[in-house]
Formats: sequence, C-alpha cells, structure tokens
Amino acid sequence: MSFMSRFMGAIAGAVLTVTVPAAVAEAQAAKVQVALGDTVSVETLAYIVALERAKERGIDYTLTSFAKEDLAIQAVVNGQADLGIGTPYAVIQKSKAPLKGIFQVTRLVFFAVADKSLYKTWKDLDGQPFVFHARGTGTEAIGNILADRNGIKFGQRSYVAGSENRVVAMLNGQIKATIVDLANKNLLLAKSADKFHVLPGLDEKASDEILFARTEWLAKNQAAADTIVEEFAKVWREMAADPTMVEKERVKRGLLKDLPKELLADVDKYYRQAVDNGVFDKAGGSPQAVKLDFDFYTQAGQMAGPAAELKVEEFWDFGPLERARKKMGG
Amino acid sequence: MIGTGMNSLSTPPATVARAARFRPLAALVHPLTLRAVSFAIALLAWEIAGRWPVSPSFPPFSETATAFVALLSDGSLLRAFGVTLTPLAIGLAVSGAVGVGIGVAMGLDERVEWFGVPIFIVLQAAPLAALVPILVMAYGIGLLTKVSIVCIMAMPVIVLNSFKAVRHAPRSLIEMGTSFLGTRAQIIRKIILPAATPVIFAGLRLGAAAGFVGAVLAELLVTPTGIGDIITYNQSIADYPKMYAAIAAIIMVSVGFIEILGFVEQRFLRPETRRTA
Repeated sequence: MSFMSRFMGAIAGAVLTVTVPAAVAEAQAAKVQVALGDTVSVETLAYIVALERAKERGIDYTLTSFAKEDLAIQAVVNGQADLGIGTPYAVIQKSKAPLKGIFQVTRLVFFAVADKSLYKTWKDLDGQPFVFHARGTGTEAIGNILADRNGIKFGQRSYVAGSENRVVAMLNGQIKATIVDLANKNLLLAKSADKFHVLPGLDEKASDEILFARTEWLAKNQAAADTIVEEFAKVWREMAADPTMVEKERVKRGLLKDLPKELLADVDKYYRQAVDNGVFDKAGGSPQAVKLDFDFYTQAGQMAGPAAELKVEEFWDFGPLERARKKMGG
Repeated sequence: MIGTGMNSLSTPPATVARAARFRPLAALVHPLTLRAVSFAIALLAWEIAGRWPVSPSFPPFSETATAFVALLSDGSLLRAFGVTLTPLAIGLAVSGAVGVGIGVAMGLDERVEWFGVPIFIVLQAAPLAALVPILVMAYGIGLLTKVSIVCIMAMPVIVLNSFKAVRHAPRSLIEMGTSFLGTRAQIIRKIILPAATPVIFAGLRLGAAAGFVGAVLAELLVTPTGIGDIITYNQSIADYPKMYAAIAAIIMVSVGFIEILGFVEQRFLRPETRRTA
C-alpha cells in the first residue's frame, strides 16, 4: 500500500468516526426515547399498542426496558430518555427533578393473601409476620393502611422482591401472608384455593405507573406529547369497552412475537381481569386521582407530607390529556 | 482505596522522622498535610459538582455529610454495619485462613499447584454478579449465600498472592539454608515464610477490599439488608443524600480496615522493620 492510499484511508476513517456517530445521534434525536421501568411482557403490551399507534401518526419511538424503575426515572432526569413510565413522585419532590406526570397508566391493584388455616381475618394477623416486596414500596404502604384500618400491627416484616417469588414461597409454605399482584393472586388461587384466600383490600387505588416527561421536553415537543397521550387515552377507552382489543392489536401488529405461546394465550384473560379490577382507569388521571396518590405515597413514606399541602400542578401537567379529551370528545 | 493503602506503606520511615522536627516548609510536604489536601480537593470537587448540579439526583458533599450525621445519630447506620459486617467478617476470616493455607501449600508443592491454580484463576475471572443467581438457587437467601459471595470475591486474590509469594522466595537463601543442613520445616519457617510475608499481606489487603465489594454486592443483589438496605431504600424514596452517605460510610470502613491491615503488617511482620522496631 502506498503512502498516499494509506493517508487517504486514514482520512476516510477519521471522517467516518466523526460523522457516523453524529448521523446516528441525529436519527435517534428525531425518535422519542421512552424509558420503561419494567420488562416488556403481557402486562405492558397495552403501552406498546398505544406507542405503535402514535408511530403510525408520525411519532417514532425507541423503547428501552430497565430492570429497575429507578433507572428508568434517572434516564429521563438526565436527558437520555424523553418519556418515562414509572412512579417519579419521590424524585420530583425530593431532588426537585423537573419532571411532570402526563397520563396515569396503571393503578395499584394488589391483594392480601394468607394461609386460611392460620389467618381467617385481618385480626388474626395482629403481631404476626408479614412479607412485602421491598421497604417503602406500594405493597408495604397498602399493608400499613390495611393494618391501620383493621386496628392491628404486623410483627416481623420481611421482604421478598417480586410477586411471582412470593407466590412460590407461599406454595412452598415459607410465607404465610403477603401482598401480591393480580396475575399472581390468580395463580396462587388456581394452584391451591383450598389452602389460601384473599383478605379484604383497599377500594381506592393509587397510581402505580404514570407516563411522565421532562418539563423542558414537554415545552419543546408539545405536538409529540399530545399525540402520544391521545393514543394512550384512546387505547385505554377502547380497552375499557373491550379488553380483547389488546390481543387483536397484538396479532395485527405482530407484537411480542418472541414470547412463548403459553404466555400469549393469557393476554385476553389478563386484560379482562385487569379492566374488571380497575388496573386501568379510562380517565387516564385527574387532579382527584393525584390527590389520592399524595395521600397514599405520603403514608408509604415515599413522599414527605402533609399530603393536603402538596400541589397537583407541581407534579402533573394535564395539558396534553385535556387537549386529547377535547379532541376525542366526551 | 487500595492506592491509599499502598501509599502509607511506601512512606519511608526517614521522611516521617524528618517531618517530625516541625520545620514550616517541611510541614507543607508532610505526608499528612498532602493527604489532607488531597481529601480536601476531592471533597471540594464533590461539593461543586453537587451544587452545579451534575444531576438533580446528585447531592453535594455538605448535604451528604448532614445525612451521614443523621444516620449515625439515629443509630441506623451502626445497626446496618452490624448486619453487613457479619457475613463479611465470617467470609474474610475463612478466606484469610483457608486462602493463605491453600496458597502456601500450592507454592510449596507443584502437585497442589496444578490441582488448585485453575480453580482460583477461573473464580477470579468469573463475573460475580452473574454467579449470584446460581448461589441463591443453591443456598437460598440467607447468611450462607452472602458468606459465599464474600469468599468468592476475596479468596482467589489471597490464594494466588500467597502462592506467588512462596514460589518467589529467594532461591539463593533457600540454597544457603540447604547447605547449612536446615530441615524442610526450618527452611519454610525461617526463610520462605518471612520472605513471603509482604506479598501475602498485599494479597490479604486486596482480598479484604474485594470482600467489602462482595458484602455490599450480596446485599444489593440477594436481599437488601444492612448497608445495602439503606442504599436501596433511600434510592427508592429518592433520599439521595442518605443513599450517598451510606455508600461513603462503607467506603470509609473499607479503607480504614485496609489501612489497619497495612499498619499491622508494617509494624509487626516486615522483617526489615521488625529488626529496627
């Protein structure tokens, strides 16, 4: 190889290393980066349907799934993602992160399950061991509120992350009473309904995951935010009327193709039960719902109270949702 | 943190003696002054980065220090250390005793070396975070799993350092011992082990540092208890100053422990300082 060709090669290499990442970065910048604090699975399928519909209307997106919700929130806080799905209340309040909720995606629907032979009512659990997901999380807050209302105090508290792990431990007899999500409550009762039962729970349901964004991004990308929130609101309304629409959309769009068939067979069943149990609120959030969140999360220890003094507008921007409602009517 | 340990070792005793005469200029370059300045610069940079801020979730040093005092005064930090240090102490004691034993045996006998070295090289290269789920399946989520994680982190370094220390004992001294008709036991006790001590201790210090990493990893990856609980809980409720205070606390304890090991070695076990002490 002559000196000249080597020299030209080096120049070309240098140009490529400088321009290619820049071009990739630009292409990525055009897409809305969505950070999901959860795995992509049957339970998050409805979110993908809404995002896919927004994509059809020209708002392309990239979805990144994080193992922990904190990571998804930090991705948005630090500007690596534009939209996040998680519960950012504590981060907004305590580290003054410039984030705003724009749509209530899911609500906390959890069930207190117990061994029938030991605990027939809440009163029997006074001073008894109880297992939660992790310290200061939704399951513990629900447990605290229920214990409070039933006038009891739990004994030894322990923590096992993941409803699926707690159900396995219950079936193995290592755990006698805990709180699990809808899918795992059904699994537990399906496997051993003669041994376990569900204790009375909470009627009011706080937000579990909300769609949120950086205020700066919201101001600059109102059209994109409006389209995405509108599609979420539409899917949530359609789902409330007909839960099987999620599975129909999945088949139509070929989503989650690499999930095993056994899991995909449960899509209809999951969404029917989730809609019946109030996991998805077709309203998509309201100032009243946010007030309820303040009550709940201050009791959970995630937010500092008193709840009555917290201001909805510091945590939420209802602009996109209100515009979507006007457009959709009703 | 290992660097700090090495620094204290490489400070020649003569420098300390010179500085002890309190000459103003010498006081400026005194090891303690330089260390204090190094700390001050790092903490100042932390404070500036926190106030800038690098991220809304990154607290400045002053807030972290306040949170540290709060954690210390309500007793939660001490309780957490009690929990975290249990598997760490057991793990390090086992790794230290067994690790030095195996390492020395491998250094003395090639058959033991061929048998043992591959295991420890594989363990040293294994990414621990990937092994944790297997350990949880095997031993559950109790103390045994956490002790195993500490051992897996600490033992390979200790074993391999002890092995190399013994293997590299000065051949000429051993030959001299043999020509003076020393028995095998005498040569090991009077020549090989004293010559190997510095490197064995370097291994122990590195192993202790790795053990601290293992103890915290165990609490973050298996079940959140002790310091790991303070870190994950405060992360989940976005109380970042407390989260960083807990991280800083475990680093301080780790550095302190490694410094003590270095001191013990230099004071009592170095052949050259033992003679002058």
